[in-house]
Amino acid sequence: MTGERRHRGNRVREVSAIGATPATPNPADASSRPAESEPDARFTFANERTFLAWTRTALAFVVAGLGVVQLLPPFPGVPWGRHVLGVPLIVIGAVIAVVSYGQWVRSQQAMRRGEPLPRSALPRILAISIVIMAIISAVVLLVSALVK
Amino acid sequence: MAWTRTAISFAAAGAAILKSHLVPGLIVLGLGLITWVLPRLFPGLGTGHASRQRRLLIVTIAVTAAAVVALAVALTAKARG
Repeated sequence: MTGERRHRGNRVREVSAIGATPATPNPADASSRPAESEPDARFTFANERTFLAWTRTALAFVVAGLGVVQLLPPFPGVPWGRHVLGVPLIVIGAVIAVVSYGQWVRSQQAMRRGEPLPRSALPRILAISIVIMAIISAVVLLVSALVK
Repeated sequence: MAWTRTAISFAAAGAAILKSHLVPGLIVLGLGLITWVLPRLFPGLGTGHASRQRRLLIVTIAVTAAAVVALAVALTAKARG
């Protein structure tokens, strides 16, 4: 369909035909933000349960770190061994808690807007953390064995 | 159930700290109690999107605070042996 020209004073404005592609919304215009609606309650609860599962994982890391520092006997020849293991565990727990909240917010926003869910960095963080802690543990044990 | 499991995890963290430090352990136990009891005391608190987001932010802050307390205990406490 062809456009229709209207004269408004000295300006000529072309009016789009019905069915044409709407103009790209101006990001600065608040009214052009994607419309949000409450998603299915099941998805909201599933997102919340995922957040709580990660929260429990974070708390488990914190408790593990505390347990290593407080309950393990000292490594022979390596007096700082328990802190090297325990402190990163506690820090990782805090990081997981904060990142999981951000993930909940992004996922909930995507569901409210009908957009694809964002990728989660948490599995990668968890895997890398476990590998690093395993390497540190191996190093501490080796040093302890060599110094003995 | 998920909230109950989370409260139990908080209790475990608090008990682990309570073993050696009374006050920090009670703080962490208190944080867990707050996050578990809050939606039950104020049922309207968790119905809307903003309310839900606020409640989960409180939980995140509580877990981070528990981690900070645990870190302080780990760095300052006299450990076994």
